[in-house]
Amino acid sequence: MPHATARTTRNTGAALALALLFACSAEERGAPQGFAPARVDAQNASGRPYSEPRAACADHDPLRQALFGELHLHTVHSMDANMWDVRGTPDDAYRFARGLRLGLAPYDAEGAPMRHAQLERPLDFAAVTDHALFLGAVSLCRTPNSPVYASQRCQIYRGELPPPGGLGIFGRLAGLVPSPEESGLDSSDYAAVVSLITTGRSKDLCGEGDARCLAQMDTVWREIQEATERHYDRSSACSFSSFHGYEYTATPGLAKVHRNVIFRNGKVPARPVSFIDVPEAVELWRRLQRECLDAGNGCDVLAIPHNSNLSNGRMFGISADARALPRGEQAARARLRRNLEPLVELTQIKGDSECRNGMFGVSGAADEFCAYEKIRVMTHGKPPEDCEEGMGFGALGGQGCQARSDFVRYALIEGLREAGRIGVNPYQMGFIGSSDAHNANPGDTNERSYEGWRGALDATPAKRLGDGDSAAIANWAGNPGGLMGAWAEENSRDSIFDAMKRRETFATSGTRLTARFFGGWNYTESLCEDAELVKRGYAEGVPMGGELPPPQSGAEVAPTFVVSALRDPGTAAQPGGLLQRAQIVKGWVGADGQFHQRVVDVAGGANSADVNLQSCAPRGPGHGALCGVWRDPDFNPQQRAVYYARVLENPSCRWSTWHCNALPEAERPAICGDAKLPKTIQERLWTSPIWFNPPAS
Amino acid sequence: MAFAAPPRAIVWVNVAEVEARAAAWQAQHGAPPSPALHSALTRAAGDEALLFHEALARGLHEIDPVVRSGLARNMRFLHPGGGASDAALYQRALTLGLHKSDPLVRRRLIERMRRRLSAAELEPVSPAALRAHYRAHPQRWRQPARCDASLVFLSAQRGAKLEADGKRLLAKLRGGFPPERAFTLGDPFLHGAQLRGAAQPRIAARFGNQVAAALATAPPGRWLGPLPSPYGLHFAWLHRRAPAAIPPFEQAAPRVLADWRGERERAALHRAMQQLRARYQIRLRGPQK
Repeated sequence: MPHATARTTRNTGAALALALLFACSAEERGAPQGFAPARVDAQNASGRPYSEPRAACADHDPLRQALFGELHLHTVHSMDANMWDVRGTPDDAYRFARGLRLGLAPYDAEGAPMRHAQLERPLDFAAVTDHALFLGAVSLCRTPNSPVYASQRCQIYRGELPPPGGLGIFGRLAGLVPSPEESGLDSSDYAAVVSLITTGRSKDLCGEGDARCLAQMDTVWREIQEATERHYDRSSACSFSSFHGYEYTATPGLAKVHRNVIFRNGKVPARPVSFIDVPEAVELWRRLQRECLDAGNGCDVLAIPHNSNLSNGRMFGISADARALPRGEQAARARLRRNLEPLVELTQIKGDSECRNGMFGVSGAADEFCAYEKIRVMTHGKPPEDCEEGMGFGALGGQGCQARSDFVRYALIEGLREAGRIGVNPYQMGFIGSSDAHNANPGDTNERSYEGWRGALDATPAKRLGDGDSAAIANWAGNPGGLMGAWAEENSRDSIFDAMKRRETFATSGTRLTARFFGGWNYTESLCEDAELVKRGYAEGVPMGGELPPPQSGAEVAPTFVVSALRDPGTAAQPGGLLQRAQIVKGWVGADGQFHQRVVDVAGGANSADVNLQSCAPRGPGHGALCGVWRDPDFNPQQRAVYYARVLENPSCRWSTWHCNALPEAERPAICGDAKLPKTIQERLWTSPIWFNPPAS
Repeated sequence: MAFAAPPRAIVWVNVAEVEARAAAWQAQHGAPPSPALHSALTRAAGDEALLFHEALARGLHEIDPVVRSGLARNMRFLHPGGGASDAALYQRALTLGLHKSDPLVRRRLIERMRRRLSAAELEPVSPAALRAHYRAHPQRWRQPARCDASLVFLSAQRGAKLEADGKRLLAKLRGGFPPERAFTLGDPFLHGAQLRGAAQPRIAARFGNQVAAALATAPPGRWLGPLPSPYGLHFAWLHRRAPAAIPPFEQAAPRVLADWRGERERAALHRAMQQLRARYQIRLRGPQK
């Protein structure tokens, strides 16, 4: 592609000269071809152009490799992390991702951290996604020579003055929002403080026209970008990819409708989009379209919704207002969303968003494995009220109803229904898992070494096993979060971003098991024994994230799927868990308008494996690898359907069980013996779905 | 004529402060600190006292806006209703010595002093200094060895036959099978059969430590195996191995700069703390446990 070539050469005069120099010396030393670093290549080994200057990756597999990463992580720049004495910077976060040691809050007088964390296995890629919301104000309040540093508002935010109304630590945010005098609203309770966010920025703090805060926001955004650039390995070693990103933190009425915005390369808009400036998701997508996709400078972007489990039905519900729009406008919005939101975050520290049994309008046998990290149920001891087709408010305050559309499985089915109604499926989403940790520690998802996720607030085992101060989630109901896998040719930004765009990604609950998932019309039963399984998977069908092509004439009139999974190999010190079963989940809308689900074991199955709860040692049989081929026996060629695979490990100790066991019996908090705290979990993997749309539709 | 060195000034540390740190440690770790650690906590409390003392000696409390407004606010709270200005209230607070007793002021001044000492010697970095730093610590920028290899896999699901199947396969491979096609003799493996420029940690992550270790040391051009992994047995043909290498300075420069800066800040703080410790005597006071 001449366009890409032109761009790379323009940027690389000096680097190229150096590269030539180095190439000669490498040659002299007899280094093999392909290992010379500091060279600039226009394209990768498969001939796909790079969107920014870099050397082609030596480690390149056209059949793709599983890369593990994290796209949801907060550092010192996030308004909440900062209040919790988190001091880790984006640089620290990337260093941690690459396997270096990280200090954690609390800190001593010399600023030395009192805790440390380190990954046994580095990540392949990561993004720092600090809250765009208050990005400028937080920095102004934390920079001693800023003009507002000594203001009363900054002192409230820093905790030096008590927040109004005796609110807990979150009340400190009252220092950043407009005052009651400025907004005409009361700020005496938590909900009011959060709702004040939508009324704009404080003039006291941000000055006329918000100029001071916006300018500072741009500065911090540049600093984050600089760190992200520093850690991107552009050499042929391709040891690590960093992605530019931020979080768009929309919380209308305490319902979480948050998204992470992730960019393909170093071409990013000058300012992140903040909920204060852009309170509607559709406006976020339009801004991203205008300022990035249409900028004509190589900018490319996607947004990833997360924590739909705390959205009171708002993340994926179709509101009456939305249905009242002209049909063409509804379809246009759905196309915009589908284009910008190819992925969804399925699991994280604040719980699992895959599915919940017994939701309104869902038919099919109960799925026992939905009972996993359901934080609202765990925290409050009972399931929240069902919104049915409606929506609610207040999940972040532990309130309001929960809708089936809070869960991704039913959002996928809602998408099929929308495709029938307006002709576009807005929810054609692949899966990722993330941590959303606020300790600058991406990918720190090991149950055994969990150190909490919010700075000084849950810095001790006793605090982590306590209730904490959040109405939405008890500390003990949180978890270390998940990881994301991407099937990419190589560890470069372009290759991984391409995988995200085509949804060839998977989510895990934090361990590093892997799976392939292919769907097609002609796969044979023997595919699992074929050494060329992966090659045939691609050649004769579509991988996870894809859409089944129309059946060829003469083919079977039902699609066949193959799931092939490998256990997490673990480390020498901590072997990975054995696999228990691989399943396929199918969703569709029935003629009755009901949402239907079916879950089938396609390899492995129920076994006698369990855990010694005193030592946490796993016991019993399991599998190192699982492979199964499944033909859909109920396939209806006139009906849209969505299929994804789920792979379960044998049971293992939940982090809280490791914590309880480590404490002397006399010092264990009551929760350790409480039935509402699960003792074990089954770590798991979810592949992105494969869709079927009838050719005529 | 010789002069005796002036006696070192005394800085006091309250025993209660040390005990509070010990209690915090116990809450954090579930066990009381060891005697050695207890000494370290005492030293940390002493260092804080030094930093605070030094901050006051340098008059940081007079120039810090947070300290000024905080003290004025305290005065207003103590004597509400007065019409005095912030400046006057601040002066009165100093006369009463409030700046020495307020915990927020103390924390603020310690933090400012620490930052000031860290940044004290941070001269602008020259390219020559960076290059020297790069040359002085080559191992910090080292990139791992990389392999090109072809692999064959036999699944543990073969059960009791696995070992015998492995022997048969190895004989066939050593009989001269082309390495790139050898995987067709084995079972499907999700992570593929060809490695190109793969670094040791990635090989270990996909094929396990034994495969990674074999490829790290064996000579190229012959079949290695059987190499067990959590999945079964692997056989590997190493085409070539690029040894671990130090990337050129230009490539490592951003990391060199960050490393240099961090090191300088830590060293400056360390030196400054040593000088402070030499200038003062730390004494504990208060009831001993």
